[in-house]
Amino acid sequence: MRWGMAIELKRCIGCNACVLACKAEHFVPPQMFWNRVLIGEKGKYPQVTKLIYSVRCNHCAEPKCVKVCPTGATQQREDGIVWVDDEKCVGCRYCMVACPYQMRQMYEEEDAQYFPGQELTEHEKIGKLLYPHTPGVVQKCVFCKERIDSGIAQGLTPGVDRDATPACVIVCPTKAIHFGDLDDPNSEINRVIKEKHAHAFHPEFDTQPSISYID
Amino acid sequence: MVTKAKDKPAKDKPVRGMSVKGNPEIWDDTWVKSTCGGCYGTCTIRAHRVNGVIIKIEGEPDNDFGSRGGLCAKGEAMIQALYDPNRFNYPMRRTNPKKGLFEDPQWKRISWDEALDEIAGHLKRIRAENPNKLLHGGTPSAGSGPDLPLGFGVFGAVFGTKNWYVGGAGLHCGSGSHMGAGLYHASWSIVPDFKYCNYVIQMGSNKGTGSGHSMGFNMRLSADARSRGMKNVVFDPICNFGGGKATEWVPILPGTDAIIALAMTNIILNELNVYDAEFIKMKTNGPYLIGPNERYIRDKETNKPLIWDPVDNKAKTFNDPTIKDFAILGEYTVNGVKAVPSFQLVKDHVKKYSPEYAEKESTVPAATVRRIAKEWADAAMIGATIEIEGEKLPLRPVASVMFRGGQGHTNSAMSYCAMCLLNAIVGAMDVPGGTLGWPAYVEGHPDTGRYKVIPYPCRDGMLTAGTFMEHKPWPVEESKVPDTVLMKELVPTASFSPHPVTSDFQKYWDNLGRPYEIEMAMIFGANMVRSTQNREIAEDFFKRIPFIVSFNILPNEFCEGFADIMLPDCHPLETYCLFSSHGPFFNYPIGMEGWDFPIRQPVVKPAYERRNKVEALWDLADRIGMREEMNNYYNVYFSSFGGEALISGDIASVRDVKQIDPSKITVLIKPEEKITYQEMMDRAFKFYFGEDKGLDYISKAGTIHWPKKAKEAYWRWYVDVRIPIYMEHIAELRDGIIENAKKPGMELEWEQFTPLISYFPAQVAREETKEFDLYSFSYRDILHNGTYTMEIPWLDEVSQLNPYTYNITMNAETAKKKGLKDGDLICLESSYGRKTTGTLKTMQGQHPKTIAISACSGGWAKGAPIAYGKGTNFNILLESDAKHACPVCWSQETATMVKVYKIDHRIEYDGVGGKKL
Amino acid sequence: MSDIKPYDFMVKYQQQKDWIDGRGNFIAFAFFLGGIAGGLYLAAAYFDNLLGIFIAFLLTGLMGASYMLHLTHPMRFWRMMSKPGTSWIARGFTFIMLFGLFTVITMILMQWAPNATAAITTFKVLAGIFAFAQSIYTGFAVSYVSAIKMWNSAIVPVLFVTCGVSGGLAILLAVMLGQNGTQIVALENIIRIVLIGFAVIVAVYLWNATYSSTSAKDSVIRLIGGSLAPLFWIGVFLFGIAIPVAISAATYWVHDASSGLLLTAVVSEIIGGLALRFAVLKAGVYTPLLPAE
Ligand SMILES: Nc1nc2c(c(=O)[nH]1)N[C@H]1C(S)=C(S)[C@@H](COP(=O)(O)OP(=O)(O)OC[C@H]3O[C@@H](n4cnc5c(=O)[nH]c(N)nc54)[C@H](O)[C@@H]3O)O[C@H]1N2
Ligand SMILES: Nc1nc2c(c(=O)[nH]1)N[C@H]1C(S)=C(S)[C@@H](COP(=O)(O)OP(=O)(O)OC[C@H]3O[C@@H](n4cnc5c(=O)[nH]c(N)nc54)[C@H](O)[C@@H]3O)O[C@H]1N2
Ligand code: SF4
Ligand code: SF4
Ligand code: SF4
Ligand code: SF4
Ligand code: SF4
Ligand SMILES: [Mo]
Repeated sequence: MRWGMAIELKRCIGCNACVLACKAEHFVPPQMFWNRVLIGEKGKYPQVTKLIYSVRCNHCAEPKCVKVCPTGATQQREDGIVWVDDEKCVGCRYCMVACPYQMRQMYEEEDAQYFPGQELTEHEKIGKLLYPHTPGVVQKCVFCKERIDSGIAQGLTPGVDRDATPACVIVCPTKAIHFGDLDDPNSEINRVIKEKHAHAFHPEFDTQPSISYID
Repeated sequence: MVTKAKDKPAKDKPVRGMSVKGNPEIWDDTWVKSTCGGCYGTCTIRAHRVNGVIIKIEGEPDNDFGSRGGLCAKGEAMIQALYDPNRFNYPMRRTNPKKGLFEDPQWKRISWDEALDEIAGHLKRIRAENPNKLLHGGTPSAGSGPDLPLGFGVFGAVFGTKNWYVGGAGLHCGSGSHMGAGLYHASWSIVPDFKYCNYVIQMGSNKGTGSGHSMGFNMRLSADARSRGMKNVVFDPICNFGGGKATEWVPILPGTDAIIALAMTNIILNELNVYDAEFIKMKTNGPYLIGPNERYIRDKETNKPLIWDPVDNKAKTFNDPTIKDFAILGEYTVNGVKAVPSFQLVKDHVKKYSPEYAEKESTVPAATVRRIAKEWADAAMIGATIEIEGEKLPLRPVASVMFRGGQGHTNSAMSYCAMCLLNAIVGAMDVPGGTLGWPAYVEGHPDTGRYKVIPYPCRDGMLTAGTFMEHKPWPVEESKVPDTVLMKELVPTASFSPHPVTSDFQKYWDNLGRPYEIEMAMIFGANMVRSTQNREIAEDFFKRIPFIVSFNILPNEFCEGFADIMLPDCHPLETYCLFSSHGPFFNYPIGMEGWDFPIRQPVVKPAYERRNKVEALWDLADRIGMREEMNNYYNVYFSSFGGEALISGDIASVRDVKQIDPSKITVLIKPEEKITYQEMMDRAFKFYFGEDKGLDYISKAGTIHWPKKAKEAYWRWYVDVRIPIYMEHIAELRDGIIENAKKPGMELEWEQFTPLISYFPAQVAREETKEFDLYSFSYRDILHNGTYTMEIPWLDEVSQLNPYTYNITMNAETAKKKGLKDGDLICLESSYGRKTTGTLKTMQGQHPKTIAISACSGGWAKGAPIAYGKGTNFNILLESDAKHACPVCWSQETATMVKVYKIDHRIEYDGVGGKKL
Repeated sequence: MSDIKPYDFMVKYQQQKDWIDGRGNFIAFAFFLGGIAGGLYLAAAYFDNLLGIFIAFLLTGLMGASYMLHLTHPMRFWRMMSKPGTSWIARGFTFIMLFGLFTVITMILMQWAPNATAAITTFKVLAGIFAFAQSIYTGFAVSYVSAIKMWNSAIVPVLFVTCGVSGGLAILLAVMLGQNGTQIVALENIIRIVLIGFAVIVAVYLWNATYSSTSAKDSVIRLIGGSLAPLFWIGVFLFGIAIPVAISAATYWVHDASSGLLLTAVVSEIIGGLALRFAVLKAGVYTPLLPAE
């Protein structure tokens, strides 16, 4: 089993719902981003192409971050998910430096608020109960492992059943993101990857991402 | 609903579909179905509430009223809007007697009773004197958009005021679009039939990619279409949302779309000689004979328009059952005068629009116009058919659409109609693959046959919408000397007007002898000084109104500067609403997408003293003795969907429009009854869908869903109606308008009152000089809705990650020539001396003669600290007067020429008492 | 080119910040200290200078302290040895520990059991190995980062070691000046060679980088002509190379150098060594994910 995503660029409109769904799902603190939408342009007027890429940790098969982590805090699960154990991270930032996709951030500002200087909202408060964040450790996309795990425990299939599928995938209004098991030759995601010629983003970084893109 | 599980360990009961760490104590884990209030798309959602707090919003996967499980960022961000600590929690009174753009209201908390008593006092007096002294209106934009006319407008309508002023006013949505979509599709707006369309031409709109109506399902459908390989040509000065996802982006100068559409029509009709003759004969007024006076030649007896039957070689009335064929070309003599089918006139008329002329005006190369015209005509597959659910239907897989951008100029009406003409000549209207209006034909729920809307022909055979809530201007009324401050009666083809927020309004009002003064305004949502054209002109008008009541959830520039009493409305996530999803509005699924009537219901209880605005209005109605009338109004309203097509009273006499038969009014609410909002919803649902489908049912089901029939989705050939490719009614209106304009002394561009769809250069182009050399315009960003969402921290964060949202954009080469670079603080100055400032971001994907600002940023309200100082307010630049309005539909000119230079600080914040920028 | 806007994230060449800004300053400092301590140990061991060895030990302690300051959870520092199989930081941390241990033993033996020559030599060599390891691993830690093309070069470890050694030699020179040592001339000769070597390596490193990739080229441009030019030209070139080389040359030709002049060279070289770490760390830019203009 190896979870992966395939993102159809033609579909994606850069709405950033994936970013906010992740923020809501994990109560991601202010100025922290587990995923982002990168916007750019290619070409010269008037032959211009707008570029929109929804990016997050690629859960690389050959993750640099895991290799460089001296503590073993950053680890890779059998299903390919790369995650950080809050209890083990010392904050040496080597993983942040080493990720060629720059998909890691250090959570430092413990007191950061979405409405600075005002009372914490009820939403912020419940976040501290449901998904507390440890300051001083590195964060990143966890491929919604909690959803996947509890989903599987309930007999659901990630990528098929909403409750077992990452938040950013199910929120996408254009259905640009496919999710599923890359090791299962019959999975929907493998069909899409094959039929639509998905390719890794910057394969030259040599990390074998589990996320691929379709032009 | 609320599951108390305090005694159970949480481990045994994971929070389904939500990431949770550890073993938090969970005593409430509930999903509630509702609709989103982020924009007027009102997508169906399910909100996840845990321990009494909304923690997540997801799109509803099980119906078509949205993106089928998805959401946009604004929708997700509604959580933060709900919990914004800056929200209004109690009624407030202004204690600072001064009103003005930057005044601090010095709010003081008051009780609901005190607030309502005071408001009722004013209302009572005004209603007795002259109800028109009340100006009412609000936002068509935020999540309550469709709630505006029905939830709020009803009060004013029953009260008796005709002064209905909508957020954004003259630059509201699309005065030209609403006019055109009403005329041609009996709808508020149009959209490509993404499912079957192969070639879309988009002129100044971002349907499905950034903004526009029904964003929810349009995002989904347009993505499907792109992925399927649909061709999409986008004419837009900027390559951002629509252009960025297009297969071909064609940069164009603002205000010149009409000439592109007309040049294409010319090529198709006169060079390629292609058109859908059957459509023109049967579905348009193309065969109607036009006399030398530009008017229909009518049958002397019946007064019906005449056509020429080439088989019988004689003129017949347009719906004569003996007609064997319709002549659409040629010249005939009828009643002793020269009679030409209007199609022939149109075909000849467009000859003057050569691609070369179009290039000169628009900068789009003639060869490109030619090529696209040819591609489009080919792709139209005239004559092709398709079978859908057993129905054989014409297949016309091409659509040209426009919205706010293309028609936001002084040639608004003509631009939109020119674009519609393209669809008409190939018959691509409300047929599979073509351009669709938002549902205009509903046969009703299979169990009850209710919730029914059927368009029908007026006395001249022209398409008439089957419900009074459909958009004007059809059927058009006669022009009158204006008696409202909107002055719309003068030009009945106008749907929204920039007046009275114009610099010349007072002059006209003086000339009319100042029939009355606006003594009170009651505004729901809306940011009347930031989203309307020019805040100073707006200030001048609103400052004079002695008493202003505003219903809002959050402080905005208008509330702070001008409201005397603020009433704290509920956020859509904490209240019931019937009207936000009571369609078939432009939030209703199109094409073969199913019918849905979703519910909006509270996910959490309203906190503090926030109240549902409609219930507050009913309290006011009680206080002024108006509740009975309101109840009656609702009865008429609901009954109209009981299968009775009707049009509201005052225009019912026009052009044989159907009126409701008083005997068919079902009394849902007895006049003297004082029911709750939930009770009204319950009764309405039961009336429409059956006794078992009341509020309880729909609260759980989330929506009443039933499949759409092919006949409903593609109704055009099932209803015997025609559309005006030749706008005879405009010729008819012209003299009256000119006459009635004399009294106020209003000078409009009279040439535009022509029945032949034509190109007139936009006012903005006339103001181009060597000094003021850049066309400035604005566009919407997918991250924001109006001014409202700029206060939401999540959206603010992602806006900062976006290169364009908060910046002023300009073509990179142009910037270089002007010695400007990314990050420069620049000032835009219009030839009227109006100035606004912001940060420059250059881009390749922008027309070199333009400079652009993403819609409604640049906030200065102190009560909205997140939005404060972010981005740039474009509207400051606009001039607003009769010269800057489209004479036919009264759209405001939304582009202006500017010069641009570096500056050292944000001058438009100089007067603001807050943080200097 | 300097500070990127939030929306330029990985759309333009992006300077790494985690190992330089704020707390990151400590890691640059630690790398510098590690290098210089290693170099000093090697030099001092070669010249049998106990004080030099002791200072090397102190500097290593400082390095450790600097390291701790860099960590957000320093109390978990012991976890850092968990993954020596893959992580250069883990390895480095181990090297430092072992270097410290063997140096302490060496010093104890040298001080209190000067006759245990075999044991001294053994531990001296062991410590020497880890001194070298400690000084070169910082280079490997950096060069392992394939994401940063400027760093991802086999020259970096060599550069760091050379720089460390030259700094170490400089400190030893200062130590010897204080001790009125007799081996100063020999030391000076070594310094001359190392300095020239260092200058050559810097040049080769930069030259090579301009060819290796566009982002490394961007780094070089930043160093030579961009925002980092002052740091590079004044810090690395002037202090790290030009001044020491000039003084070195002067002492070579003039054969008589005041200790003031030599001390200037020493200080200058130390500044240069520090500047080099900062320059290299600051010049680390990531290749944009979207095509850069
Ligand atoms: N530069 C520029 N200006 C434009 C446009 C443009 O494209 N460019 N577009 C124009 C158009 S098309 C329009 S429609 C207008 C829109 O203009 P407005 O109607 O003024 O819309 P907003 O500015 O979003 O203001 C909406 C207000 O409603 C409040 N609100 C939100 N939800 C609720 C609710 O549930 N209840 C109540 N009571 N209040 C609520 C928000 O707090 C906010 O203050 O702007 C126009 N102005
Ligand atoms: N995200 C988001 N969605 C919204 C709203 C919102 O504020 N934000 N508001 C809702 C409302 S109230 C409305 S009315 C609709 C509006 O929906 P749209 O009509 O799609 O609105 P805009 O994005 O303003 O579209 C204007 C486009 O026209 C371009 N343009 C400007 N001038 C011209 C011109 O002369 N010719 C051509 N060809 N192009 C031109 C602009 O660059 C821009 O791309 O969206 C609704 N949906
Ligand atoms: S939610 Fe989907 S469409 Fe929106 S930015 Fe993310 S991937 Fe793109
Ligand atoms: S993208 Fe970066 S953080 Fe994610 S697994 Fe790959 S190297 Fe690690
Ligand atoms: S910062 Fe934490 S997760 Fe990253 S490498 Fe260091 S210990 Fe591992
Ligand atoms: S997979 Fe989950 S954790 Fe990763 S970006 Fe998407 S929502 Fe966030
Ligand atoms: S498109 Fe509009 S209604 Fe739909 S989720 Fe977005 S903001 Fe809400
Ligand atoms: Mo609008």
